[in-house]
Amino acid sequence: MASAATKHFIRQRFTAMVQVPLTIFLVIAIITHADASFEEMRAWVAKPWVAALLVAWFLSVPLHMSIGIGDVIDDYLHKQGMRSLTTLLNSGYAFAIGLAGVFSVIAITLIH
Amino acid sequence: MSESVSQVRFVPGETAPMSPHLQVWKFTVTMAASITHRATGVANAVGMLALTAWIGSAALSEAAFNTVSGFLGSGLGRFILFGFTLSVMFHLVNGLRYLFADAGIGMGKDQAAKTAWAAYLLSPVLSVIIFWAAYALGGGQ
Repeated sequence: MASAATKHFIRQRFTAMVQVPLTIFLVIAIITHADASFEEMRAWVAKPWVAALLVAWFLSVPLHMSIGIGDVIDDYLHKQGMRSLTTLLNSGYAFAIGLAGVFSVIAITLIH
Repeated sequence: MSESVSQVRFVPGETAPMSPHLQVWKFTVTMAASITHRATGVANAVGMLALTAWIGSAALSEAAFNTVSGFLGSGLGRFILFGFTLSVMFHLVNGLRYLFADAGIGMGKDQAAKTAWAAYLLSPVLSVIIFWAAYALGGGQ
């Protein structure tokens, strides 16, 4: 890869393309599970193909959002201290969402 | 912008270099779509808390799941979810514009403006359809 910028550029577009079908899947899934009970929700998440798509979602989205918010930080925050702090919070938030999402899907799938 | 441009001096290693700011510019719908794309992107990142809490609570306990789905099903919860849906739909539709633009499609001045308007029109329409479907199929009480 030529540079970090090129890497970000390609990753942002790759995750975007992955998330188009995943978002459509998730929207339909949420529509049909809006009133799901605890057991119904767990049974749905534990289906292998649903679990796989949810893990894909929780790997792709944190990457996409950390790059996107990173661009916003780079453009609007000019002072070094503030940039470092928000960049750290941005990475931490993306990591936390990804970890919580993937762990939840694995926990429901294995414990179910 | 938190500080005026003249206050921020470019100091190598301390501040980021800034491009010269234009004082005269015209409002265009493609520009608005670009700004909204960023705003909805940030909003979607916040909205991920709701989605992660919903799935995370199902991994924790029945009580946690009932608390989270109870909140998301409340008036305030539905209001937040509608805003999240609207934000995701705009980011999805407008994001597709950018993916096509990367392929060199729809970059003409008139075409870009038309598709930007379409993003603003389509996202609320899709959001209403999604909520209508959720009420009809998901048994929204």
